[in-house]
Amino acid sequence: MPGKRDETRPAYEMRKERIACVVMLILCIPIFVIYISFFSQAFFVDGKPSLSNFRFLYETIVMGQYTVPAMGPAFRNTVLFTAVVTVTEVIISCMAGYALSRMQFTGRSVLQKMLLLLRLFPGVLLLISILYVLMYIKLLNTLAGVVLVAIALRLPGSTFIIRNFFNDIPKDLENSALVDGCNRLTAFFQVIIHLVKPGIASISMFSFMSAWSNYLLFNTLILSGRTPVMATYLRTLSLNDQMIADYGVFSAMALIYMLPVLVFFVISQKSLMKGGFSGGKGI
Amino acid sequence: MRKNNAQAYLFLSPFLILVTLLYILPAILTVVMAFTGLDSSFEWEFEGIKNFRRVFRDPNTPKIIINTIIYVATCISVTMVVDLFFAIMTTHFIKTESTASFFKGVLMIPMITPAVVYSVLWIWLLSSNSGGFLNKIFMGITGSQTPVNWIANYPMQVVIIAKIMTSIAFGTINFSSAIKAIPENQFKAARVDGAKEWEIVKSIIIPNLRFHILFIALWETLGLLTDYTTILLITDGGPGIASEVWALSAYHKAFISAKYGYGAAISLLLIAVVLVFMIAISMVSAHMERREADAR
Amino acid sequence: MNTRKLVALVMALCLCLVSFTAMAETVTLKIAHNYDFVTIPDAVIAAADRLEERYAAEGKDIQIEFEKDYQRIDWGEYGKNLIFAYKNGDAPDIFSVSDVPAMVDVGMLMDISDLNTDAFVDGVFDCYTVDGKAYAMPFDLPVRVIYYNKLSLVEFGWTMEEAEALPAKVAAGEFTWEQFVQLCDDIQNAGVCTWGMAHRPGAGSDFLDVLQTLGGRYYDENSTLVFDEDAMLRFFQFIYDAANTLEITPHDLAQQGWPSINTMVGDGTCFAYYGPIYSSTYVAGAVNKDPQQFSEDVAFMMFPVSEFNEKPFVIAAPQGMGINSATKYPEICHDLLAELAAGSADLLANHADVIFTLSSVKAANEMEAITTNPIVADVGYMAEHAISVPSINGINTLNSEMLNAIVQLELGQITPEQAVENVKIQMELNIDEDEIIFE
Repeated sequence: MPGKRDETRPAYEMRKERIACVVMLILCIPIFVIYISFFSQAFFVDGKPSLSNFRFLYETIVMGQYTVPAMGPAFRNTVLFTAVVTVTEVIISCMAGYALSRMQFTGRSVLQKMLLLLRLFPGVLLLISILYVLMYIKLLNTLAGVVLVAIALRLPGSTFIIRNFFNDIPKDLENSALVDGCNRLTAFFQVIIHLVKPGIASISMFSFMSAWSNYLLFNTLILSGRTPVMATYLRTLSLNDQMIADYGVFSAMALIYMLPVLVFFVISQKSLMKGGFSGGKGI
Repeated sequence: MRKNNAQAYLFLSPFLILVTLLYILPAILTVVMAFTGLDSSFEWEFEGIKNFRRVFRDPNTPKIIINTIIYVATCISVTMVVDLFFAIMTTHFIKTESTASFFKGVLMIPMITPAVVYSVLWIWLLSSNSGGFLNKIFMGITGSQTPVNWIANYPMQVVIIAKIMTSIAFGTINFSSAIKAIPENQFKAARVDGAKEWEIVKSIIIPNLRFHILFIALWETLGLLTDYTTILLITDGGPGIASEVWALSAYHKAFISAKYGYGAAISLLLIAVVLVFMIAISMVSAHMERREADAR
Repeated sequence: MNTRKLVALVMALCLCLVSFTAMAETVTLKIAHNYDFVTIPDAVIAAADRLEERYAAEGKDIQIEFEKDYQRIDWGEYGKNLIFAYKNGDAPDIFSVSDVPAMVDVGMLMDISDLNTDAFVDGVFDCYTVDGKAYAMPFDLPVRVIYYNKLSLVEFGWTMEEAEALPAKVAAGEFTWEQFVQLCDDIQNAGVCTWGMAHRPGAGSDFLDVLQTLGGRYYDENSTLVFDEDAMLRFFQFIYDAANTLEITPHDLAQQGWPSINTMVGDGTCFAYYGPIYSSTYVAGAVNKDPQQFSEDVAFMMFPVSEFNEKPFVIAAPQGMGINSATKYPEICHDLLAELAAGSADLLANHADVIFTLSSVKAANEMEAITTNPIVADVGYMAEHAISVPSINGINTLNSEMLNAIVQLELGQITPEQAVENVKIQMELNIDEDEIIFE
């Protein structure tokens, strides 16, 4: 087991910890076994080690009667979508969170209450009418439209979190910046944003994860096959009544799809565990 | 502090525009739509409460309600127990920080797996032929010669287990940080009294966590009532309507059968239920905030 | 240079420019298709080259290019997406159609009644005709049939001649549905096959053919949907018995998915199957056989006579394409379809050959691609018995509700009576009163 031994702790506690570790390990084994057996299929063809399952990376492949297009455009769209959503969501929620936390204005308390309600309200239930709204503003069937919806549906939650982070910063800090001759905007960008870094890290992580794996929005708001993303690309190959890709190819694709998430996960796991996590859904 | 409306609303404007356009407006539209016969011919024809009458006349409705209750209730109760168990294991018993976060990391794997991949993982795991992962194990243990079609025979159980796996991490980590926040002297006092571990859990950890438990339970319930992606991708509500839940039926009516008005009506009924939970959550979290403020 | 000369020069330049742009006029058409049979849109794209030549001969210089959008999603979703895209103003110019009544309802399909229908096999336009106007062009003429495994019959004790003569006996009305079901049961009991009869795992009109075999009708002379309660009960009783009493159909068939069913039918694990003839491309593919090898194992027959049905029949189920009523290039799209129907029928013949069916165009059926196809050759006679079903509002709802009932019946969760009741209520709830007749 990794980790330092805490010499000050009594022996009986250490023994309990060891037992607990064994229990946890046994409980975690199924997850390991399932994930490893699933993804290891990517490296085998007919039982022999091979990398040919990864052919889709550079060429179109034919599976049965279906020609699987190369993954390039789907991957590109997913990267673009995730980047735009994450950055924009963070900026907008920081601005709104700051205003709600720090500024005095007419309608403040109404907006505060609205935020409390909205962050709990499940936006997916509105998908039917969201589709109509997008149609009227001519953004249905475009990546930009899905970007807006993805941001909007997460915005109340993120704003709520970041507002709480702003609330926790002592007023003095900002005031001293203001006194030092900064105006609101520079104070916002230089001092405050710096102080809510953990909050920003937290919402950007969740924004990234949800944008990267979003399927439902693309399934309902994109009408043609001309704007593929990884989620819809993989779904096409694994419809309920007909799994097109064999599991070898599918797990190879899934591995490519999950790689950025895994990297991101390993990097951010620590902060994900701490305050960030509870913030993720907004306690 | 002086009021500065122009500046404040400048900061708020992107937020307000997006929320108005894609939250408030759709919410109003949903209410209106629920009273129309809007379908693929795109005519906003007002039909009064016809859609709602339809929902209650539909012989599938009781089954879908029962499914939803079973799904939410089972998921929530199992998740809570499992969350508490893992939180106590990784916080109270495993005090070495890096070991604990390793285990928590493992628990988070299902959560971070994209839904499209996660569902196929389950379909592969439960594959109905004799080469399926679970079937190999099952046939190996029982010596049975006939493979089991797990998803067809146990659709509700499958989606429930799959869903629970993805939600463990959230509660576990929340409870874990809540346990860390319990003052150490409470444990010390209990140990001095010679309390067993089970008694410590029962008389210290759980009482301290009661509002967290309530909050997470309500929060997860809200999620379970409205998030249907896992079911959509694994069973699509089938076979028949064996694993159809309320939110998914709204999706099916609107996006598969193109009955937008009907779908909106089903959504609206769910929203009414959701509102109750939203109020409950607000009350609990207001209460928690007050407690925290008092503690400081 | 005086002013007049300058003006003249400028005008000449402009003229040059105009004629230059006119020369290089490029038209980009968006073409959409769903699922695997891409020979349908590809035929249109190939026809465009020839149309360009014809235009050139007429002195028009038009380059036609295509933006392809070939998808693989649920057909219902595909149709719904197209309708939304039309409302959104970015629907493709020419596309494979699904749910024609709904598309006509929103007005997204161009009326193409003026195509030369004489070139087509009689009745193929019926399913795309609403109020006497044709809204899409059929690209093929697949029939829905019963598949059966000849080798299994031989193993069961029939001679190969007898096995091959079965379709003729069925066509002559000498072999009944009841006898066929019995045969499925006997073959399974004899241990030749694991299962007697299979069907598609999803919703589809295949089931309506069995309903019709059992004396049911699902539309009237005005193309209105009909709910025939007695026949529906017989049909559900059959489905229930097949899975639970005779046990010739696996009771979880609907959850097994296409690949497993295709393999089962292809390798003889299952004796019989009913569905469109083009499914045999998948069935043959699932067991890695070419059409020739496949036709040596599996044969096709019509839906036979039964106690309730006096005439053997097959249903024609064409696939086709329509034109966006809002397209910027209605003439070109129209000319493309006309080209396929007249000069370029070979492209349709090629498509029909690839998916093992007859073509919708008479000329194509004379072509070698079709006449030498081993599978099509065997079923050519069925064209005479083929029934064309009109475009029926609400048929998709009926199909999906029937599937729901079938799944539950096969799993033994409901009785046939309950199934009829459930479907009936669903039809009452989901279909407008004036669009359905209960009898």
